[in-house]
Amino acid sequence: MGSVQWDERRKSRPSVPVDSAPDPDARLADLRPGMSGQVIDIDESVEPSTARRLFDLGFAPGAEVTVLRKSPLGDPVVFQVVEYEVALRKAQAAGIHVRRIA
Amino acid sequence: MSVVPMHPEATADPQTVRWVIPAGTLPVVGEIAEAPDELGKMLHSEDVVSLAVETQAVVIRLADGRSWSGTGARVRDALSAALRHPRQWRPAETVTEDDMLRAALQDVLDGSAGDYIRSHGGEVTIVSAHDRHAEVRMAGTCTHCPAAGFTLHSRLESELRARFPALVELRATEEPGKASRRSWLTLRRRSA
Amino acid sequence: MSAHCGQVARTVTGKTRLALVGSPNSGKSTLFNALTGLRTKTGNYPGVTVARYEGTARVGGHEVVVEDLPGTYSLDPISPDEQVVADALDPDNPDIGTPDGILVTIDATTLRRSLGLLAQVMRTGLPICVVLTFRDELTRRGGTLDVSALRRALGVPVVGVTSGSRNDLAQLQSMLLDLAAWERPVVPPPTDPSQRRAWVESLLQSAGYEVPEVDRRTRRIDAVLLHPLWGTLIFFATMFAFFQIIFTVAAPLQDAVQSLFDSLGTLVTEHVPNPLLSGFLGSALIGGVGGVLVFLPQIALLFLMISLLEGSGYLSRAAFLMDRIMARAGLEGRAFVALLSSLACAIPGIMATRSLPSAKDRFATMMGAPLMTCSARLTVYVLLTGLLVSPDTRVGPFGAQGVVMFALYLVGALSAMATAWVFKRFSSRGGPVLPFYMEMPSYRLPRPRSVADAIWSACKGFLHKVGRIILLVTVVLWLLLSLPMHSDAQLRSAGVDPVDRTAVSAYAVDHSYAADIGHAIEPVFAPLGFDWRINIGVLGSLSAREVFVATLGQVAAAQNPEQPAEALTHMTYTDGPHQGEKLFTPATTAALLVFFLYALQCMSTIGVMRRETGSWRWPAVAFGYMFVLAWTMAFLTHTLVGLSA
Repeated sequence: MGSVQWDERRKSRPSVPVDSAPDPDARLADLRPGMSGQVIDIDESVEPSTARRLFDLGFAPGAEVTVLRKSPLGDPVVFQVVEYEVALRKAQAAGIHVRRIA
Repeated sequence: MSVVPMHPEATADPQTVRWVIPAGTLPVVGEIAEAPDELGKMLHSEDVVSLAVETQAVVIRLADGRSWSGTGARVRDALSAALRHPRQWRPAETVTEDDMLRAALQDVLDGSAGDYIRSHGGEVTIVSAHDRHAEVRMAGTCTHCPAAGFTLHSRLESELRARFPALVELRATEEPGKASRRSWLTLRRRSA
Repeated sequence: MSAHCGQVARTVTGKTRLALVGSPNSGKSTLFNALTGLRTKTGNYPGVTVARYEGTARVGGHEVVVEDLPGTYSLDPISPDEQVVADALDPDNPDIGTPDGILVTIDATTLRRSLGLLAQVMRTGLPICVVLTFRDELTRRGGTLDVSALRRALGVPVVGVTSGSRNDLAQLQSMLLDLAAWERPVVPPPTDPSQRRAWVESLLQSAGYEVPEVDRRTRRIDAVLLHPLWGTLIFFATMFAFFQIIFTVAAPLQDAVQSLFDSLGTLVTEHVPNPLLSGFLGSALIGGVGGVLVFLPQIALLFLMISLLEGSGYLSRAAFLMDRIMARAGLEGRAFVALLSSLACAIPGIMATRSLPSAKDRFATMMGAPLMTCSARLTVYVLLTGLLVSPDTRVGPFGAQGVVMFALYLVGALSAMATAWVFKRFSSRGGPVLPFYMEMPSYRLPRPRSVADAIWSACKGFLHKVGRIILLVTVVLWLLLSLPMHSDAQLRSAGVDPVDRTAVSAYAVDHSYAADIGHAIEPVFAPLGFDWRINIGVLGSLSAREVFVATLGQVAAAQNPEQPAEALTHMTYTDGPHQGEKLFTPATTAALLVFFLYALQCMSTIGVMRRETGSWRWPAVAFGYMFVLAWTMAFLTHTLVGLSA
């Protein structure tokens, strides 16, 4: 029964190649609450250890991220990623390239 | 390029490991004679003794003297690469679609659905697997209960369809001796 | 498989050692407490500000040592805490003994993320058992997970533990004795990121893991608690209540402890004939023990509230709301609670830094926390502000005394933030700036058992490690202030009536070893306007700041040493260039206020810093920098006020 689920999940994954994305330079920090994006990669300017940590937290290429809410002072921001919620500061979110999805 | 999801599971034989893969990854079942790239080389070298494909797994047996702790990582890399070229896997014997269906059905009956039936004193056997139609015979206590029959049948059918998407129907008959009749709720579905 | 299933290494003690690894909020500490009960001890890892928790689990007559490693999301360390975890699991690292086996706690609701950490732990090659937590929550949220399939797919034992269930715990305990029987993975998980992702996907698929639907309850609560307006109001209300409880609810309890020990001391003094012995027993020893126990109500209440806030999930929300402000000090939102607690007392404040995940932040907050205006400073401020400005003076519509007090609190808070910023900068040298990330856990009801455990271990740790230091300092200071003893004949020849207790104690202090020290350090403090008697007060306040008031009262031969204001206004310099001039000029009083604002005049704080950082180095640094800061600022104040007067 799990197999059915699996196949559906695979099918629902967008098959659009990276180069045809509408805005290749979108960053996670640019998304507004309610918007979702798919992680493309982590910017090269991000420290390798930080990039690695973002990966371990679930911000891996292909992962779907939804912006849940901003702090009343605008920073940090709560994201939903791989089934849990995590707050990042904008400085970190700006290092994550995303492709907007509806 | 995305990597095919897989993980190793130990078997009773320490030289043999089942690499679980999604159903439908490979268009073959049974013993494999030729595999792509590195995996093929390992099969012809002294590392891998046998390579067999199940509906949801690749079963690999290492040669005596090779250990999974030593060779495992290499086998994984080779298998991962080989799974990207499903058309290049050649079975030892010609595999027909009926063979695929029968293997998928056997896989279902060997799995958790079969376990469930057996744990309730029931028994299921394959009657036929032919031309995208399959038939099983159910025997034992649970078949007397129509609700159980329906639940079991729909579970078996959905698990089979997950492994063999081209399935047209799965028929379930009760044990012989009584009037053999088709289960009262056989869903006729044609896969798109 | 049996090929690498060799003998389980035993440590020198012969007991099996297990390490507990898991991400923050994965129920790791709850499991640790459930396994070890109260048989725990705390220490520090060598050379880092990371607390080490170790306990003993008794299973069927055998003892298993369990070590609760810091929570981490990855074995690629980016902070000292995570370095500890990586080192502990590294067989080649000689500093920390490698465990014989590892228990990995995994929150069933965040399985996908957690398997990444598990993959890293599995690559250590040590025997591993997965402890699956929060399965009840997974079910509540409509998710599914086949534990036996997960076990088969992982190739290591998986035990589901519902917190509070004795059966689950018993099942886990029964496994702890025979590590050799733990299944080992047939092939360790891949290291390559994309292969690792494929491995995780395959496991979840095999285990029939259904993504838990969004936790609606948590979303609904967050819609209010993180609302720009309501959330902010609730936050301030919560923090106000928090502060009120530490500040006002603890106060009567502390007074009760204090008066109990005071009356005990009086009882002893009256019944022991030898004046030296009676003074030592009554004031130094019993007073010292009372001085330690007086902190317990505050510490217990603080940890009651912190564990409630943390256990419910609100602490992360509070930190989320405050993060932007704390970021200005280079800190993160979670440091707010520690600084707020320090307004009551730096002791619980410094202990509250434990909730900070990063050792650097913990350290920076600890260095700043003693500058927050604590309640002990308050008594000193009240006395000195009364000397400095008359109650009738007004600044605009406000009373001048209130304005001065407010300014002192404000300057204290700003200085604390500035100091934390400076130390954060220094401690980050060389290394990259740590990224900020904070999991927002689902709201959960705090478990009474966990709350009780947190309070108990905080109180126990304080008594055990800090109590001795406070007691010792109290005794030494008492000896300095009371010795040498003077016979009645000596007193009479000095013109003091031996029956007049006030005069006798004033004489004793004036001629004590402390007075000698007060004279000796006069050159240091003279530029601030302090004379040797103020120096005695400053010295005496090392045991606790509020002691300054009583000591100065004794020196001034005040009738009531607790209220010496009247006596102090008439004090004059006894010698030196200013002989005969008024001692408490506005310049000196202001300098003294500023000195108290900055100086680390509190051995208890030093003791607790020693305990939390695991070495004398950082308390020494804190004492040093705060003394230099206090002296400099007091000197500037003395000069400026002197010029303007």
